Amino acid sequence: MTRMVRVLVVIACALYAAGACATNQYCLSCSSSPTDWFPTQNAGYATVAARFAACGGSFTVDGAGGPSQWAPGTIATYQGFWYNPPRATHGNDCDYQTWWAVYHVVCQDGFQWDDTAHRCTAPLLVIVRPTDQSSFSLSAANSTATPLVPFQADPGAANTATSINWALQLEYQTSGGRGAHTEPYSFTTLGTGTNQQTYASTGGKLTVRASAVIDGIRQNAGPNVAYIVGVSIPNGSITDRLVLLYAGGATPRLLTGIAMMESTYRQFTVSTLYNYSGLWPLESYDGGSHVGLMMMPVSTGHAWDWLANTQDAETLFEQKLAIARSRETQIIAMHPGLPPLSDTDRERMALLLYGPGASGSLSKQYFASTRDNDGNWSWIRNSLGNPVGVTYADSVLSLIQ
Amino acid sequence: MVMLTQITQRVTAWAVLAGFGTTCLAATPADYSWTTFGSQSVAAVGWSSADIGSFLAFASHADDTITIGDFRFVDLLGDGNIELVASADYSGRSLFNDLVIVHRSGGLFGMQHIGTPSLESLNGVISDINNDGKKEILVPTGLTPYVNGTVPVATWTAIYSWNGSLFQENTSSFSTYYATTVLSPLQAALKTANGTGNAEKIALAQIELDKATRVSIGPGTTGMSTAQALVASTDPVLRIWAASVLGDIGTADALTTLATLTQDADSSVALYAKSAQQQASWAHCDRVQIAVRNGGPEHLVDLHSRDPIVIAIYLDARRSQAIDRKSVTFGESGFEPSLLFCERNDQSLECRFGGALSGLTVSDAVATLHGKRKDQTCFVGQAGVQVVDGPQGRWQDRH
Repeated sequence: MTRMVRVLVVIACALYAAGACATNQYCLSCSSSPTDWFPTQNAGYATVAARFAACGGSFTVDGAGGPSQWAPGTIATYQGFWYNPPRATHGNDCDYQTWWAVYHVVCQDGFQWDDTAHRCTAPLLVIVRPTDQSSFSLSAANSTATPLVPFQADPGAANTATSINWALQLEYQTSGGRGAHTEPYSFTTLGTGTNQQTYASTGGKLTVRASAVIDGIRQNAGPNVAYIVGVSIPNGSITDRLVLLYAGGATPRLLTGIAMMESTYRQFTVSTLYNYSGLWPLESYDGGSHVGLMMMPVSTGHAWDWLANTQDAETLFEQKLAIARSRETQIIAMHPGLPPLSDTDRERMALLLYGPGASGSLSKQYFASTRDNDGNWSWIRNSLGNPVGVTYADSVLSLIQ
Repeated sequence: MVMLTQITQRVTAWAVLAGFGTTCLAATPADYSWTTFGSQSVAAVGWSSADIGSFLAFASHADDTITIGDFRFVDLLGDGNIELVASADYSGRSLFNDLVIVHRSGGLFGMQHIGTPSLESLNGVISDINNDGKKEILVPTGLTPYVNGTVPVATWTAIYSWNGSLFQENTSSFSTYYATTVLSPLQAALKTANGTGNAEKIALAQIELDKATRVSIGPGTTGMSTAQALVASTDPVLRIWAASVLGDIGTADALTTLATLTQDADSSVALYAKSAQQQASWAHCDRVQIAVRNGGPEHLVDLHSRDPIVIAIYLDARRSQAIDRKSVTFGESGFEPSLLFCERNDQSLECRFGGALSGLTVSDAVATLHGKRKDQTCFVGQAGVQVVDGPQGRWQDRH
């Protein structure tokens, strides 16, 4: 009975990128004898493990008896195992029938396994830009858009007329998995031509793939991963924006207090997302149910566009002002003689309705009614009826810039 | 199959409405039976959050949008009647700081509101933890204030149980549950926080564990040493948290230390400390039994009626003599200056309040009373009510 022992050797083929080994694209020949594992390029190394270690690479081994039976560095012990698989089931696994092992060579950095030459070879199609792990900031259009991001591939000098298909995917979600958004996009370039894209009011992890048919064979490149991240917005710009938005209000600088209260004036902050440290949208403590300057509910716009974040907050505050007027009218109707609130006092009512103490109850507004000894009604700060809301409003007012 | 059933029921509801010749544009939960038996049960319909928000806004005459984070139709009391439990947001920012419990009585809907820092999901909120057939409501309750969006709020689990007329906070009666279910995870959380070396994470975990200990196995001064240490912190957030803990402990020593924070050089710390100080003055009041004498067994309070709301405060004669009657306030929050007068009868102190001054609004299901004795100790009582706006106040008449 045939002893069926499958040995899978996974080799991280990082040779070409490792200094002195950069020109050596020869990973490992699939051959019939252990001695053939050390052809000319590998001379001087006792084992395959040593060869790869010297080049900054590594490999793992899984034998029939498990890794402990055939561990890295004990190559010689593989003798006695053999395998004769149907080729169709292994494709590029380099599963030659002549000897006892099946090697699965994994080429890295875009290199591809050449099943004829038995080695990793430079890819025919390479993404030139964006480079892997690059980043682009929202430094244009008042800190809401990236400069032009170039997409360029190299199909080789002989293929300048080749059409390159690009598949992009921009994804973002907060650290707590909130506000998940995925945005696929595709386009075509020709040869080494460049396509330029601008990312506005969005950001996140950008995965870039390219493909082309070269010499009748589909070649894939990438993925290269790039990051669209935020920028540090100057405090002066934030203040100007917030004052402009609420210019007609009784306290034109009121929104600066909200921004300071909610985010300490930060739309973005240095943090790590997708294993990348950069300026990501500021998240609420619960994993990002709210984001940005005004701590608005998470969405792509609120996370990446500080103008949208502040605009929507101002719109909401105006709605709260209208509700505050309505509540004021209702309370006055119940307490004859109670005077109207001033515009600034009405803003306090609206602030409570914008914050964590928002309530539909007339007894839980910023102001409540009180009666003096003569039976006259007046307004009183409602710190007992709604301490959470009143403290929030007072804090905002104390933080106006 | 489920979807088909739901759609069928919605279509049926339309047909029913059409048959009645009503002008309603769409079916609402009010159009269904709020019982666990029979067909047309409200719990069997696939309501959306928007449906529930609209229903709550209409039922309470709200003038702003109510956003619903989560909701359940569930028989809370095991009596065959279904209640609606929903997490609601009034801020427009999805803060979900209100838990609403809606009970239907005939054509009337009574709503009890319980405050919470943020409760988007109701998972784990409804549970019969003492196996008495009536479900308890477990509400994450804020201990520390909202400092800003990036700073967590320390919470504790307040347990509300049915007392015959409303869900009342009764956590101290569930010390066994706390000891077996709540404290252990909090201790593990503290251990994890300690591993991070992050001062705010450690303080937060310690504060939450201390509070859980105070409300369950005690003693009531647990956390005093932590709070005193936090007072000395250079981090203003930790000093704000210390103020909240000290106010919550509420002993003379704690309040003395809290007073120092009201003078803190950081104006934010001082502001929060003053708020904690004010809340502390009412946080440790004696509970007294009160009852609404109006409106028969439903305790109906008609906002359009000129009749006062009559509240019986059950205190013995000696203690009722010691009440500072002018201090008594009553209404939706319990701090409304709605008192008309009080008089002593055989079994209770009976006080009358102006309905329009009480702050109670249509569908309110709970009223609160506060008062002080002449020695400045305070008392608080809550009672179930059913607020309507006149004889036309019933749902089906307005609908």
